[in-house]
Amino acid sequence: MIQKRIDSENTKKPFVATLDMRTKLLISLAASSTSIFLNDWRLLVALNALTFVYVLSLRRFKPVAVMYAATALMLGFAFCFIPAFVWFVNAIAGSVPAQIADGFRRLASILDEQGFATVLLPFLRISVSMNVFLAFGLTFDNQEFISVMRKMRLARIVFIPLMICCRFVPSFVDDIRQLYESLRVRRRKMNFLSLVAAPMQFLRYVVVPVCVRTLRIADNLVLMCEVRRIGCSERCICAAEHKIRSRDWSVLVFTFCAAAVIWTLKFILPAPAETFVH
Amino acid sequence: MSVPAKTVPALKKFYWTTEHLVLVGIFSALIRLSSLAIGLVGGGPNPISLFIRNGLTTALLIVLVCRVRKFGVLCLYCFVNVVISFFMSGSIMIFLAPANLLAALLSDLIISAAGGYKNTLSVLAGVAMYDLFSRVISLSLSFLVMRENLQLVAAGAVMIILGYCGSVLVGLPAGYKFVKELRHAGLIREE
Repeated sequence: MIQKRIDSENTKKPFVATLDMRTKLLISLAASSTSIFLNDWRLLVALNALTFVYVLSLRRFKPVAVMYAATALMLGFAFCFIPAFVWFVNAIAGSVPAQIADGFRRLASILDEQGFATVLLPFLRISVSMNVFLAFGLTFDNQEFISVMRKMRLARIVFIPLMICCRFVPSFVDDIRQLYESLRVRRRKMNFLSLVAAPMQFLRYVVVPVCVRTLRIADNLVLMCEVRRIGCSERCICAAEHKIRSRDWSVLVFTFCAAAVIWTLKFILPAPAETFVH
Repeated sequence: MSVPAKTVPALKKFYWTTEHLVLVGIFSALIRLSSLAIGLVGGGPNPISLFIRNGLTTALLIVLVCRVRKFGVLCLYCFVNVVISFFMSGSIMIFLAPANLLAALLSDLIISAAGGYKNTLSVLAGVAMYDLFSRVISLSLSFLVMRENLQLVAAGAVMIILGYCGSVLVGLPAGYKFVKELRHAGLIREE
Protein backbone atom coordinates (compact mmCIF):
# COMPACT_ATOMS: atom_id res chain seq x y z
CA MET A 1 0.00 0.00 0.00
CA ILE A 2 2.69 2.42 1.10
CA GLN A 3 4.88 1.29 -1.79
CA LYS A 4 2.04 1.98 -4.27
CA ARG A 5 1.59 5.46 -2.87
CA ILE A 6 5.32 6.12 -3.15
CA ASP A 7 5.25 4.86 -6.75
CA SER A 8 2.31 7.11 -7.67
CA GLU A 9 4.08 10.11 -6.12
CA ASN A 10 7.29 9.22 -7.94
CA THR A 11 5.64 9.45 -11.35
CA LYS A 12 5.19 13.22 -10.90
CA LYS A 13 8.83 13.82 -9.98
CA PRO A 14 11.77 14.27 -12.38
CA PHE A 15 13.60 11.05 -13.16
CA VAL A 16 16.65 11.80 -11.00
CA ALA A 17 14.45 12.58 -7.99
CA THR A 18 12.89 9.10 -8.16
CA LEU A 19 16.26 7.36 -7.91
CA ASP A 20 17.26 5.65 -4.70
CA MET A 21 19.60 7.58 -2.42
CA ARG A 22 22.24 4.84 -2.63
CA THR A 23 22.25 5.13 -6.43
CA LYS A 24 22.82 8.87 -6.23
CA LEU A 25 25.61 8.35 -3.71
CA LEU A 26 27.35 5.85 -5.97
CA ILE A 27 27.02 8.20 -8.94
CA SER A 28 28.52 11.05 -6.88
CA LEU A 29 31.41 8.90 -5.73
CA ALA A 30 32.11 7.57 -9.22
CA ALA A 31 31.99 11.02 -10.85
CA SER A 32 34.06 12.88 -8.26
CA SER A 33 36.68 10.12 -7.93
CA THR A 34 37.03 9.87 -11.73
CA SER A 35 37.38 13.63 -12.14
CA ILE A 36 40.23 13.90 -9.63
CA PHE A 37 42.47 11.56 -11.66
CA LEU A 38 41.78 13.12 -15.07
CA ASN A 39 44.30 15.52 -16.62
CA ASP A 40 42.81 15.79 -20.09
CA TRP A 41 40.44 18.73 -20.58
CA ARG A 42 38.50 16.87 -23.31
CA LEU A 43 37.60 14.02 -20.96
CA LEU A 44 36.76 16.45 -18.19
CA VAL A 45 34.47 18.35 -20.56
CA ALA A 46 32.75 15.08 -21.49
CA LEU A 47 32.31 14.17 -17.82
CA ASN A 48 31.01 17.66 -17.14
CA ALA A 49 28.48 17.37 -19.94
CA LEU A 50 27.18 14.08 -18.51
CA THR A 51 26.88 15.41 -14.97
CA PHE A 52 25.40 18.68 -16.22
CA VAL A 53 22.62 16.81 -17.98
CA TYR A 54 22.15 14.77 -14.79
CA VAL A 55 21.66 17.88 -12.63
CA LEU A 56 19.65 19.84 -15.21
CA SER A 57 17.16 16.98 -15.54
CA LEU A 58 15.86 18.13 -12.14
CA ARG A 59 14.71 21.36 -13.86
CA ARG A 60 16.02 23.48 -10.96
CA PHE A 61 17.94 26.04 -12.98
CA LYS A 62 18.30 28.81 -10.40
CA PRO A 63 20.44 26.96 -7.79
CA VAL A 64 22.63 25.57 -10.56
CA ALA A 65 23.20 29.06 -11.98
CA VAL A 66 23.94 30.46 -8.51
CA MET A 67 26.47 27.72 -7.73
CA TYR A 68 28.26 28.19 -11.05
CA ALA A 69 28.37 31.96 -10.56
CA ALA A 70 29.76 31.52 -7.02
CA THR A 71 32.47 29.11 -8.22
CA ALA A 72 33.47 31.42 -11.06
CA LEU A 73 33.63 34.31 -8.58
CA MET A 74 35.83 32.34 -6.19
CA LEU A 75 38.22 31.38 -8.98
CA GLY A 76 38.26 35.02 -10.07
CA PHE A 77 39.24 36.06 -6.54
CA ALA A 78 41.96 33.43 -6.54
CA PHE A 79 43.40 34.95 -9.72
CA CYS A 80 43.36 38.39 -8.20
CA PHE A 81 45.48 36.96 -5.39
CA ILE A 82 48.73 36.94 -7.41
CA PRO A 83 48.75 40.65 -8.45
CA ALA A 84 47.79 41.50 -4.86
CA PHE A 85 50.61 39.28 -3.54
CA VAL A 86 53.18 40.90 -5.89
CA TRP A 87 52.00 44.36 -4.82
CA PHE A 88 52.23 43.33 -1.17
CA VAL A 89 55.77 41.97 -1.64
CA ASN A 90 56.87 45.20 -3.31
CA ALA A 91 55.23 47.26 -0.58
CA ILE A 92 56.93 45.45 2.30
CA ALA A 93 60.25 44.79 0.54
CA GLY A 94 61.90 47.77 2.24
CA SER A 95 60.80 46.87 5.75
CA VAL A 96 61.78 43.17 5.85
CA PRO A 97 65.25 41.57 5.60
CA ALA A 98 66.53 41.30 2.02
CA GLN A 99 66.66 37.46 2.05
CA ILE A 100 62.98 37.16 3.02
CA ALA A 101 61.98 39.74 0.40
CA ASP A 102 63.97 37.80 -2.25
CA GLY A 103 62.22 34.57 -1.24
CA PHE A 104 58.82 36.25 -1.56
CA ARG A 105 59.75 37.71 -4.94
CA ARG A 106 60.91 34.29 -6.18
CA LEU A 107 57.64 32.70 -5.07
CA ALA A 108 55.65 35.48 -6.75
CA SER A 109 57.57 35.02 -10.02
CA ILE A 110 57.04 31.21 -9.96
CA LEU A 111 53.31 31.74 -9.46
CA ASP A 112 53.18 34.43 -12.11
CA GLU A 113 54.83 32.21 -14.76
CA GLN A 114 51.86 29.84 -14.77
CA GLY A 115 49.37 30.57 -17.53
CA PHE A 116 45.90 31.86 -16.79
CA ALA A 117 44.43 29.11 -18.95
CA THR A 118 45.43 26.51 -16.36
CA VAL A 119 42.39 27.54 -14.35
CA LEU A 120 40.34 25.48 -16.79
CA LEU A 121 41.25 22.04 -15.40
CA PRO A 122 40.61 22.84 -11.70
CA PHE A 123 37.34 24.52 -12.66
CA LEU A 124 36.24 21.49 -14.67
CA ARG A 125 37.13 19.17 -11.78
CA ILE A 126 35.26 21.28 -9.25
CA SER A 127 32.20 21.60 -11.48
CA VAL A 128 31.89 17.79 -11.84
CA SER A 129 31.74 17.41 -8.05
CA MET A 130 29.41 20.39 -7.84
CA ASN A 131 26.95 18.95 -10.37
CA VAL A 132 26.60 15.60 -8.62
CA PHE A 133 26.45 17.28 -5.21
CA LEU A 134 23.68 19.60 -6.40
CA ALA A 135 21.67 16.71 -7.79
CA PHE A 136 22.02 14.89 -4.46
CA GLY A 137 21.35 17.96 -2.32
CA LEU A 138 18.32 19.18 -4.27
CA THR A 139 16.60 15.79 -3.96
CA PHE A 140 17.63 15.12 -0.34
CA ASP A 141 14.85 13.89 1.93
CA ASN A 142 15.55 13.60 5.64
CA GLN A 143 13.14 10.74 6.35
CA GLU A 144 14.26 8.76 3.32
CA PHE A 145 17.86 9.21 4.42
CA ILE A 146 17.17 7.74 7.87
CA SER A 147 15.15 4.85 6.38
CA VAL A 148 17.91 4.08 3.91
CA MET A 149 20.49 4.12 6.69
CA ARG A 150 18.42 1.64 8.66
CA LYS A 151 18.12 -0.51 5.58
CA MET A 152 21.89 -0.46 5.15
CA ARG A 153 22.33 -1.99 8.65
CA LEU A 154 25.11 0.40 9.55
CA ALA A 155 27.05 0.04 12.80
CA ARG A 156 25.65 1.99 15.73
CA ILE A 157 28.65 4.34 15.84
CA VAL A 158 27.75 5.43 12.31
CA PHE A 159 23.98 5.25 12.49
CA ILE A 160 23.34 7.17 15.74
CA PRO A 161 25.48 10.27 14.96
CA LEU A 162 24.09 10.45 11.42
CA MET A 163 20.50 10.11 12.61
CA ILE A 164 21.11 12.76 15.28
CA CYS A 165 22.62 15.09 12.68
CA CYS A 166 19.49 14.83 10.56
CA ARG A 167 17.16 15.25 13.54
CA PHE A 168 19.12 18.21 14.91
CA VAL A 169 18.92 20.42 11.80
CA PRO A 170 15.23 21.50 12.23
CA SER A 171 15.81 22.20 15.97
CA PHE A 172 18.85 24.30 15.15
CA VAL A 173 16.97 26.31 12.52
CA ASP A 174 14.16 26.86 15.03
CA ASP A 175 16.65 28.00 17.70
CA ILE A 176 18.27 30.47 15.33
CA ARG A 177 14.84 31.85 14.43
CA GLN A 178 14.00 32.32 18.13
CA LEU A 179 17.36 33.99 18.75
CA TYR A 180 16.76 36.31 15.83
CA GLU A 181 13.34 37.23 17.24
CA SER A 182 14.78 37.85 20.72
CA LEU A 183 17.48 40.09 19.25
CA ARG A 184 14.84 42.01 17.32
CA VAL A 185 12.92 42.58 20.55
CA ARG A 186 16.11 44.05 22.04
CA ARG A 187 16.51 46.16 18.89
CA ARG A 188 19.74 44.44 17.96
CA LYS A 189 20.64 43.02 14.60
CA MET A 190 22.30 39.76 13.65
CA ASN A 191 24.39 40.64 10.61
CA PHE A 192 27.99 40.88 9.51
CA LEU A 193 28.44 44.43 10.79
CA SER A 194 27.27 43.55 14.30
CA LEU A 195 29.49 40.47 14.21
CA VAL A 196 32.58 42.56 13.37
CA ALA A 197 31.72 45.65 15.42
CA ALA A 198 30.82 43.83 18.65
CA PRO A 199 32.13 40.25 18.57
CA MET A 200 31.78 39.81 22.35
CA GLN A 201 28.11 40.75 22.19
CA PHE A 202 27.64 38.35 19.30
CA LEU A 203 29.29 35.68 21.43
CA ARG A 204 27.05 36.44 24.41
CA TYR A 205 23.75 36.84 22.54
CA VAL A 206 24.11 34.18 19.86
CA VAL A 207 26.92 31.67 20.37
CA VAL A 208 26.55 30.94 24.09
CA PRO A 209 22.73 30.44 23.93
CA VAL A 210 23.16 28.13 20.92
CA CYS A 211 25.84 26.14 22.73
CA VAL A 212 23.81 25.78 25.95
CA ARG A 213 20.68 24.90 24.01
CA THR A 214 22.60 22.27 22.02
CA LEU A 215 23.82 20.58 25.19
CA ARG A 216 20.23 20.50 26.50
CA ILE A 217 18.95 19.07 23.20
CA ALA A 218 21.72 16.46 23.42
CA ASP A 219 20.48 15.41 26.88
CA ASN A 220 16.90 15.10 25.56
CA LEU A 221 18.03 13.10 22.54
CA VAL A 222 20.02 10.72 24.75
CA LEU A 223 16.89 10.10 26.80
CA MET A 224 14.85 9.60 23.61
CA CYS A 225 17.37 7.07 22.27
CA GLU A 226 17.50 5.15 25.53
CA VAL A 227 13.71 5.04 25.91
CA ARG A 228 13.33 3.74 22.35
CA ARG A 229 16.33 1.45 22.83
CA ILE A 230 18.02 2.85 19.76
CA GLY A 231 21.62 1.73 19.53
CA CYS A 232 21.17 -1.42 21.62
CA SER A 233 22.00 -3.63 18.61
CA GLU A 234 18.32 -4.30 17.97
CA ARG A 235 16.86 -4.32 14.50
CA CYS A 236 14.80 -1.33 13.42
CA ILE A 237 11.83 -1.93 11.13
CA CYS A 238 11.14 0.59 8.36
CA ALA A 239 7.58 1.56 7.42
CA ALA A 240 8.54 2.21 3.80
CA GLU A 241 10.84 -0.10 1.93
CA HIS A 242 13.49 1.48 -0.20
CA LYS A 243 14.43 -1.05 -2.82
CA ILE A 244 16.90 -0.61 -5.62
CA ARG A 245 14.65 -0.90 -8.67
CA SER A 246 15.20 -1.43 -12.36
CA ARG A 247 15.64 2.30 -13.05
CA ASP A 248 18.40 2.43 -10.41
CA TRP A 249 20.11 -0.60 -11.91
CA SER A 250 19.95 0.88 -15.42
CA VAL A 251 21.41 4.20 -14.22
CA LEU A 252 24.15 2.37 -12.30
CA VAL A 253 25.05 0.28 -15.35
CA PHE A 254 25.16 3.45 -17.48
CA THR A 255 27.38 5.16 -14.88
CA PHE A 256 29.71 2.19 -14.76
CA CYS A 257 29.95 2.07 -18.59
CA ALA A 258 30.57 5.84 -18.82
CA ALA A 259 33.30 5.64 -16.16
CA ALA A 260 34.89 2.66 -17.93
CA VAL A 261 34.89 4.50 -21.29
CA ILE A 262 36.40 7.63 -19.73
CA TRP A 263 39.12 5.64 -17.95
CA THR A 264 39.91 3.75 -21.17
CA LEU A 265 40.10 7.00 -23.15
CA LYS A 266 42.41 8.47 -20.51
CA PHE A 267 45.04 5.86 -21.46
CA ILE A 268 44.28 5.69 -25.21
CA LEU A 269 43.92 9.36 -26.19
CA PRO A 270 47.10 11.28 -27.07
CA ALA A 271 48.02 14.16 -24.76
CA PRO A 272 46.15 17.43 -25.47
CA ALA A 273 47.92 20.26 -27.26
CA GLU A 274 50.16 22.16 -24.84
CA THR A 275 49.14 25.48 -26.35
CA PHE A 276 45.66 25.12 -24.97
CA VAL A 277 46.77 24.47 -21.43
CA HIS A 278 49.51 27.08 -21.23
CA MET B 1 0.42 -21.99 37.73
CA SER B 2 2.00 -18.60 37.46
CA VAL B 3 3.56 -17.46 34.17
CA PRO B 4 7.04 -16.02 34.65
CA ALA B 5 7.05 -12.30 33.86
CA LYS B 6 9.00 -11.26 30.76
CA THR B 7 11.97 -9.19 31.69
CA VAL B 8 13.52 -6.57 29.48
CA PRO B 9 17.01 -7.73 28.52
CA ALA B 10 19.79 -5.70 30.10
CA LEU B 11 21.41 -3.04 27.94
CA LYS B 12 24.68 -4.04 26.39
CA LYS B 13 27.71 -2.10 27.54
CA PHE B 14 29.65 -0.38 24.79
CA TYR B 15 32.85 1.68 24.92
CA TRP B 16 30.96 4.48 23.16
CA THR B 17 27.66 4.90 24.99
CA THR B 18 24.58 6.34 23.33
CA GLU B 19 25.26 9.64 25.11
CA HIS B 20 28.71 9.92 23.55
CA LEU B 21 27.43 9.09 20.09
CA VAL B 22 24.57 11.59 20.39
CA LEU B 23 26.98 14.30 21.55
CA VAL B 24 29.40 13.63 18.71
CA GLY B 25 26.55 13.65 16.18
CA ILE B 26 24.98 16.81 17.51
CA PHE B 27 28.29 18.69 17.68
CA SER B 28 29.24 17.58 14.17
CA ALA B 29 25.95 19.03 12.94
CA LEU B 30 26.34 22.17 15.07
CA ILE B 31 29.86 22.83 13.82
CA ARG B 32 28.82 22.41 10.20
CA LEU B 33 25.68 24.51 10.56
CA SER B 34 27.33 27.32 12.51
CA SER B 35 30.12 27.47 9.91
CA LEU B 36 27.48 27.74 7.23
CA ALA B 37 25.54 30.37 9.18
CA ILE B 38 28.63 32.55 9.74
CA GLY B 39 29.54 32.11 6.07
CA LEU B 40 26.08 33.36 5.10
CA VAL B 41 26.03 36.21 7.63
CA GLY B 42 29.58 37.15 6.62
CA GLY B 43 28.55 37.39 2.99
CA GLY B 44 30.80 34.71 1.53
CA PRO B 45 34.47 33.81 1.78
CA ASN B 46 36.13 36.88 3.26
CA PRO B 47 39.06 36.93 5.72
CA ILE B 48 37.05 38.21 8.70
CA SER B 49 34.26 35.63 8.52
CA LEU B 50 36.89 32.95 7.85
CA PHE B 51 38.77 34.01 10.97
CA ILE B 52 35.63 33.98 13.14
CA ARG B 53 34.26 30.77 11.64
CA ASN B 54 37.41 28.79 12.34
CA GLY B 55 37.59 30.22 15.84
CA LEU B 56 34.04 29.14 16.58
CA THR B 57 34.62 25.67 15.13
CA THR B 58 37.65 25.15 17.36
CA ALA B 59 35.83 26.45 20.44
CA LEU B 60 32.92 24.05 19.86
CA LEU B 61 35.32 21.16 19.29
CA ILE B 62 36.98 21.91 22.64
CA VAL B 63 33.56 21.86 24.33
CA LEU B 64 32.82 18.48 22.71
CA VAL B 65 36.13 16.93 23.84
CA CYS B 66 35.73 18.28 27.37
CA ARG B 67 32.18 16.97 27.56
CA VAL B 68 32.86 13.44 26.26
CA ARG B 69 36.31 13.02 27.88
CA LYS B 70 37.18 9.64 26.47
CA PHE B 71 40.22 8.46 24.52
CA GLY B 72 39.43 8.43 20.81
CA VAL B 73 36.81 11.19 20.83
CA LEU B 74 38.63 13.13 18.11
CA CYS B 75 38.92 9.93 16.05
CA LEU B 76 35.19 9.35 16.43
CA TYR B 77 34.41 12.98 15.54
CA CYS B 78 36.67 12.75 12.50
CA PHE B 79 35.15 9.43 11.44
CA VAL B 80 31.60 10.79 11.78
CA ASN B 81 32.58 13.89 9.79
CA VAL B 82 34.05 11.80 7.00
CA VAL B 83 30.94 9.60 6.90
CA ILE B 84 28.67 12.68 6.89
CA SER B 85 30.68 14.22 4.05
CA PHE B 86 30.40 11.00 2.13
CA PHE B 87 26.68 10.55 2.72
CA MET B 88 25.81 14.18 2.10
CA SER B 89 27.79 14.65 -1.07
CA GLY B 90 29.47 11.39 -1.97
CA SER B 91 32.54 13.55 -2.03
CA ILE B 92 36.15 12.75 -2.70
CA MET B 93 36.92 13.58 0.95
CA ILE B 94 36.46 9.86 1.64
CA PHE B 95 39.95 9.29 0.19
CA LEU B 96 41.39 11.50 2.93
CA ALA B 97 39.76 9.43 5.67
CA PRO B 98 42.85 7.37 6.60
CA ALA B 99 45.09 10.45 6.83
CA ASN B 100 42.47 12.38 8.80
CA LEU B 101 41.93 9.49 11.19
CA LEU B 102 45.67 9.22 11.73
CA ALA B 103 45.81 12.95 12.50
CA ALA B 104 42.93 12.57 14.97
CA LEU B 105 44.61 9.58 16.62
CA LEU B 106 47.86 11.54 17.01
CA SER B 107 45.93 14.42 18.57
CA ASP B 108 44.18 12.01 20.96
CA LEU B 109 47.57 10.63 21.96
CA ILE B 110 48.86 14.17 22.52
CA ILE B 111 45.92 14.90 24.83
CA SER B 112 46.51 11.66 26.75
CA ALA B 113 50.24 12.30 27.04
CA ALA B 114 49.83 15.96 28.01
CA GLY B 115 47.65 15.33 31.03
CA GLY B 116 44.47 13.57 30.02
CA TYR B 117 40.98 14.69 29.05
CA LYS B 118 40.20 16.23 32.45
CA ASN B 119 42.93 18.81 31.97
CA THR B 120 41.58 21.63 29.79
CA LEU B 121 45.03 22.80 28.73
CA SER B 122 45.97 19.40 27.33
CA VAL B 123 42.65 19.35 25.44
CA LEU B 124 43.54 22.77 23.99
CA ALA B 125 46.94 21.43 22.87
CA GLY B 126 45.36 18.34 21.28
CA VAL B 127 42.68 20.31 19.44
CA ALA B 128 45.27 22.83 18.19
CA MET B 129 47.36 19.96 16.81
CA TYR B 130 44.29 18.33 15.25
CA ASP B 131 43.42 21.62 13.52
CA LEU B 132 46.98 21.89 12.23
CA PHE B 133 47.13 18.31 10.93
CA SER B 134 43.70 18.46 9.29
CA ARG B 135 44.58 21.72 7.53
CA VAL B 136 47.82 20.29 6.18
CA ILE B 137 45.82 17.34 4.82
CA SER B 138 43.21 19.68 3.27
CA LEU B 139 45.99 21.64 1.61
CA SER B 140 47.41 18.45 0.14
CA LEU B 141 43.96 17.65 -1.30
CA SER B 142 43.72 21.13 -2.85
CA PHE B 143 47.14 20.56 -4.39
CA LEU B 144 45.87 17.28 -5.85
CA VAL B 145 42.75 18.91 -7.31
CA MET B 146 44.40 22.09 -8.60
CA ARG B 147 47.87 20.78 -9.36
CA GLU B 148 48.00 22.50 -12.76
CA ASN B 149 47.78 25.93 -11.24
CA LEU B 150 49.84 26.78 -8.17
CA GLN B 151 48.16 30.19 -7.96
CA LEU B 152 44.97 28.59 -6.79
CA VAL B 153 46.83 26.35 -4.33
CA ALA B 154 48.67 29.40 -2.96
CA ALA B 155 45.39 31.29 -2.57
CA GLY B 156 43.96 28.26 -0.76
CA ALA B 157 47.06 28.08 1.45
CA VAL B 158 46.64 31.72 2.48
CA MET B 159 43.00 31.06 3.38
CA ILE B 160 43.98 27.97 5.36
CA ILE B 161 46.74 29.79 7.25
CA LEU B 162 44.32 32.62 8.04
CA GLY B 163 41.78 30.05 9.24
CA TYR B 164 44.36 28.42 11.49
CA CYS B 165 45.27 31.82 12.95
CA GLY B 166 41.56 32.22 13.75
CA SER B 167 41.53 28.81 15.42
CA VAL B 168 44.56 29.57 17.57
CA LEU B 169 43.94 33.24 18.38
CA VAL B 170 40.15 33.16 18.78
CA GLY B 171 39.12 29.50 19.10
CA LEU B 172 41.45 28.34 21.86
CA PRO B 173 40.80 31.22 24.30
CA ALA B 174 37.05 31.13 23.53
CA GLY B 175 36.98 27.35 24.01
CA TYR B 176 38.77 27.66 27.35
CA LYS B 177 36.25 30.29 28.47
CA PHE B 178 33.28 28.22 27.23
CA VAL B 179 34.44 25.14 29.10
CA LYS B 180 34.92 27.16 32.29
CA GLU B 181 31.46 28.70 32.06
CA LEU B 182 29.69 25.49 31.05
CA ARG B 183 31.41 23.63 33.88
CA HIS B 184 30.20 26.34 36.23
CA ALA B 185 26.66 25.97 34.82
CA GLY B 186 26.79 22.19 35.32
CA LEU B 187 26.50 21.41 31.61
CA ILE B 188 29.97 19.87 31.56
CA ARG B 189 29.87 17.49 34.48
CA GLU B 190 32.82 16.57 36.68
CA GLU B 191 32.77 12.79 37.16
